[in-house]
Amino acid sequence: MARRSIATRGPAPEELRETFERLADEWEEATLFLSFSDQAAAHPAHQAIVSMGERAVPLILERIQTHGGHWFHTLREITNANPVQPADRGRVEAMKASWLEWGKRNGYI
Amino acid sequence: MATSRWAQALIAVFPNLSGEDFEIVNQPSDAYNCIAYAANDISQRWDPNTDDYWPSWAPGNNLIESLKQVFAGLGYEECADSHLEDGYLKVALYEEQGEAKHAAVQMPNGRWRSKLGYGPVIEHRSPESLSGGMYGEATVFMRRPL
Repeated sequence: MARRSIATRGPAPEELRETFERLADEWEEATLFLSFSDQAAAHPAHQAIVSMGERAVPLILERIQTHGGHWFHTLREITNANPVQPADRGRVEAMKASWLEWGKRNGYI
Repeated sequence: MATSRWAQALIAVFPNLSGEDFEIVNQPSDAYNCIAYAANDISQRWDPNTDDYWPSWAPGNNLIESLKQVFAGLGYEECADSHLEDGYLKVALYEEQGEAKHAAVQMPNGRWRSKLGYGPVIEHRSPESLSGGMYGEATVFMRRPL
């Protein structure tokens, strides 16, 4: 994947960060009580984050570290990667660790 | 979010909670969801998406029929209603137009507990306490021997 070339396009980083944080707050608040992640993923704010593409990946990984949250569906949808081992599915801390390690390996962190 | 702020937020989303003595019994967590909690497993999220755990005996979708199969595989059988029955543990399954939305579990005192998404676990009076909002209605009741 040509990450570097894609990552340098689009709004300035601060503008991107502000947009991401606003959408992330909106999404997490609106879907706080939903039971299924697919239902949460259908929210417009989530779709807007997915449409930011690869530029959102470092921000998502940073948010996982600082706020937690269930961003795994989002990361999969944007990157087409899935570093979580089948035995760890549903185990949030293990899933988080897998994605953060993936982020380091691929230069996002 | 402080407990009182949680209470306000919950009443805004689930209006039937107003006027009843619901209680927050576990603090918010993203480590497990309502299905996992009702299945007595708070070690992981139960969700039929690619990322989470979902039992192999149930179809991989969030239709109410699939959720029934999840609990059937745990030894539950369908029953008539949510009334407390000696010797049985009950769950209530919520749906909206066939799509599963939530699960709650009955306590030995006849009250019910629900993990609310990424939010807290609350104890509420009945399955109807959470009806009429984003969870649709509790339409399926299942029981298993204690």
